[in-house]
Amino acid sequence: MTKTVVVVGAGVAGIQVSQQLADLGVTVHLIERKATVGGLSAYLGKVFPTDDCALCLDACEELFSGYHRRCQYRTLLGSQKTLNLHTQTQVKSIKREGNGFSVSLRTSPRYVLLDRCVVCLECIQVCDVEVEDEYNLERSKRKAIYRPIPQGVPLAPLIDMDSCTKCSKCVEVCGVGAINLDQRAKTRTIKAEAIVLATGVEERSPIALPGYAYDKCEDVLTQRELARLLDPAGGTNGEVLRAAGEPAKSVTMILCAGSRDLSAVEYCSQACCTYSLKHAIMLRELGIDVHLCYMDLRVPPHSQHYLERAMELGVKLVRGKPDHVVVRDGRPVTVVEDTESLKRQEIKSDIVVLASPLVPHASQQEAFTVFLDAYGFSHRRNEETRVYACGTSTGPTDIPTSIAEANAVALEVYTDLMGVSK
Amino acid sequence: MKRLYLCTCNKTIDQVLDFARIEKEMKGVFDNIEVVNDLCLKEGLEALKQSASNDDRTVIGACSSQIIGIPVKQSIKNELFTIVPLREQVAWVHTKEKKSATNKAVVLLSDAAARLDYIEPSTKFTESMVERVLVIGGGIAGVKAASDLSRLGVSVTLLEPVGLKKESYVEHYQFMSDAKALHDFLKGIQRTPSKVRRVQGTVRQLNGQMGSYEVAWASETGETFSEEYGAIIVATGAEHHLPEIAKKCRYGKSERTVLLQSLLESKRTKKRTKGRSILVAVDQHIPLTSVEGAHLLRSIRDLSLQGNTVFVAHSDIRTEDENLYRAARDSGVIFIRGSIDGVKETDPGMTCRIKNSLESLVREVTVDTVAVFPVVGPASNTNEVATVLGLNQNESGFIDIRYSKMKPVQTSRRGIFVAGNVYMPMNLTDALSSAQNAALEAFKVVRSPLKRSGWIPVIDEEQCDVCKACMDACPNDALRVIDNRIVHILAHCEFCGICVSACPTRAIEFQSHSKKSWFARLETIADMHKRLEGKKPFNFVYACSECANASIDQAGFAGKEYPAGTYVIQFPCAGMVSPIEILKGLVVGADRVILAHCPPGGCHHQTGDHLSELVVSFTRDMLQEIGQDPERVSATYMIAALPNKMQQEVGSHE
Repeated sequence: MTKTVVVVGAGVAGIQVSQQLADLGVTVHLIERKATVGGLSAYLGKVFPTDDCALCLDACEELFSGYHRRCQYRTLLGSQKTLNLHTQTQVKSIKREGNGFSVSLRTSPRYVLLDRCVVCLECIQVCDVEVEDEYNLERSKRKAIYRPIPQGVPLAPLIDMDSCTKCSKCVEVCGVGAINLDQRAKTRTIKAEAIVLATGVEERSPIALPGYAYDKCEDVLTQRELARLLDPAGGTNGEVLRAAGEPAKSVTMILCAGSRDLSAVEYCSQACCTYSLKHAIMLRELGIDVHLCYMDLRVPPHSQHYLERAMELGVKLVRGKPDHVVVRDGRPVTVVEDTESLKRQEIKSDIVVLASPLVPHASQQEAFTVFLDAYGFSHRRNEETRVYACGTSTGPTDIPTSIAEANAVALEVYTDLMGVSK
Repeated sequence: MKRLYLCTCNKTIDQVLDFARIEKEMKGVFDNIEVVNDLCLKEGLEALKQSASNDDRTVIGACSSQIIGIPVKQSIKNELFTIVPLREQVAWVHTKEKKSATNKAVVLLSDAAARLDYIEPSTKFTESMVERVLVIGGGIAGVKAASDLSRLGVSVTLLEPVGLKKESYVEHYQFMSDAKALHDFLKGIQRTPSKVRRVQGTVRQLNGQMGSYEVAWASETGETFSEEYGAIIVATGAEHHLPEIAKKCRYGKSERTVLLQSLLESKRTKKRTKGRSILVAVDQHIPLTSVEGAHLLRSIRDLSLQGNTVFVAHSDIRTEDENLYRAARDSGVIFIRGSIDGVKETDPGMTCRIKNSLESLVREVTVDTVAVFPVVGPASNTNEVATVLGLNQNESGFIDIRYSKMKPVQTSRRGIFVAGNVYMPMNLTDALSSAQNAALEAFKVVRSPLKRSGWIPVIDEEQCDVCKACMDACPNDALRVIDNRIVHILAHCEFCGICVSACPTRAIEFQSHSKKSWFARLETIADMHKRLEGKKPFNFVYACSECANASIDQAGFAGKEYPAGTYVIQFPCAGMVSPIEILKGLVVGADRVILAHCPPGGCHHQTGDHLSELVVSFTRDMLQEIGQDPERVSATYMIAALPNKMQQEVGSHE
């Protein structure tokens, strides 16, 4: 008898665990809150440790013999027979029913029908409404009907009803009848034998840390926001510009901005040292001066080459956690005590980038809180039977560890469901 | 019959491309031309399904094969078709030069028509797999992988090193976790009523292939056994090594320099070390992994709590659990940032010079004992096992994995996986997860017969002089010498075609991608281009079908326009391109030939990025030698995250 598993969150870990389970013959419902898959990784462009796309996926057996990796944008996710992707869908509740669960879902309307859209993008051309693009720090424009991420899967656009004027130009131009401005939200209930939480993490907004002037100065960014500036497909075509528009000449990075701190987030977010170094390297390659203030550089062995390369390229490493950032003449100045030399330094720069802690998504949703620990993370094998977690929802980590964990969980789920002897 | 299907993509592509002219030009080439507006939708695919017959050869002019490839493959009755990405690689990137864009479409469709003459059905095969797995163990991950596989009903042999006792697991793996968690885990797993067959011995020989590896091992008494296994998991574990810094610390010369674990072991035997001042020396040349960092913090915390004054000379400490760091600090450990520059035996004790490498500060500390913190390296038998199994190792001697981001347990050999510390130092949780990964992969190999299909290399035995260049080049161990001839192993092949470019006599041709086919296609493109565009220069981009092709498609999505006189030709892997195809490109009249591959170290087939760079550098040397401009040939990487790469290489309109 086929078994059904609900996987919550289509980031790298969620996709990996879903594909593995589908390959093993399990029916999978992959639930994603956003309109496109990829999670946090989709914002990061090039990712470590291999410096290639975040969009790379393990090939599934059914379509590609499972041998080599494939690009996420090749829309495989919908093509596997037993893998059902539900985007723009939230889990409203998880109820235990007998040996399994009843999961109730709510899907917000996309207003573009996924099974009709041919992705000709004519609708985006004709749309007159222009709004600030939140994906690119609101520094460029997007239409009311838009594709949030160029490589985003599903490829079909969606409509942001808050800004849509219902002028129906897109409906007229769509010759295949893919747009329905009256689409409604849908609710449905899925019965499943197991639940896998792959809800992931997000960068915590530094607004909670007033000392870093994030809310006072538009040139104080987070690492994820910097990634958007560095992306050649992003709003600035890969140019690192100040909010005022001129190219930045110097950048100061503050690591552990709110992590490893008893008055903020106590734990270490694990991945930020490496992605900060990756960004520092990319900045140096653009000829931008980089200071990097840190407590410990925690770079895993498979990413050690980033630290070496950053030092080679002349990234200035300052050991010390800046206590605050002040704004002088409209520019952020980082105040830091260098614990190596015990000297107090003031670093003036065009942009300050905060490595904000990675905090769990799941804790914001009531449906999941029962499975979480004090920090909002879940154990890989939850105390509730047949509830599992993988990827960053078990604690912040990098992509290789997320993938390894997703595979491990796939095996655990499969073994448990198949009822083989313990 | 040759058929052409053109899709307007909701009547958008035909706003840029002149479909009437395309149809007129293509009339003589194809027997039947059909234009649809929605090929990717149900109705479009249904129409395709209805009209194409079994012996038709079809060209699809629509969106990228990456998008429409699978739906078309599922609808068309045969495999004799090819796809021209008129949307991503023509209409979307040449909106400013519509006439040339139409010309380009005609050129590419003519090329596709020429290609149809050379397309063969793919080779299909099914191979049965031996439903048995060998776990070469000695580590905790080995026991875990064996037990998981056994739970899944797979029969498993766990081959452990001679003389290994159950207690050794705890002794050897202290660094992986705190003692209690380790004890609990081992107690649990040793109790598991599994059907695992446990033997002790040493691997001696490996023959065969994935699904039927024949492994010979010798027992303690020297008796040899041999058995067939579908898959193999290597979990030989790790052990402590002396770091280089030990010499500087006078380890072995002074009795007051010891290994850190010896101080801890004396704790276990109730001989507590207390009231001493201890400097723990950490080697800065080897970056600490988080498992080593956590072990260090646990150890120094314990020493400090026993009433010792503990100093640590360290650089960066990684740990999974911040609380360990805090606990060590709270217990009174004194952290000094820097590396040990020298140790002198003086009257009051050991005087250590600690140099801060970043600020050139020097500090001196005098202590009773110097404790060297050992590094975790591969177990002593790793090298031997790797050699017998033919696995690549990294600089530190750990076994290499295929691709650090997505393939955590796959080795350079098909059907052989690693688990736990054998590939890098891991904590207990990660090691167990790694073991589960290996068990999953091994299970997927042995659980059902292997069914695959694809175009494969065909070896012309008359041309082949068995030089073995193809064997050395093949990243997948898919070519071997048997009875003095090169034999292709289907189960290992990834259909990349790297062997083709490696062969010095071109005795290998890839199905559907022969030299003849490339020549015919390049000539067709050049002829058509000259007919339509006259003397206007043109370039070839030979793009691999993975990252490079994805990047070029993404240029379309991102609207990164480039000149129309650029013809992208898709190769299964850039590593398949030999100087022959590059030179032919120049001979037919291209200004430049650009070979686009995956990012360095990121080739989906392992070595294509590196090999294509080599082929290009070799071709450039040849051009130089005969007085031609080597700049006409170049290699570069392209990835989907960088949709501007194509523009960078061939120029934009500005």
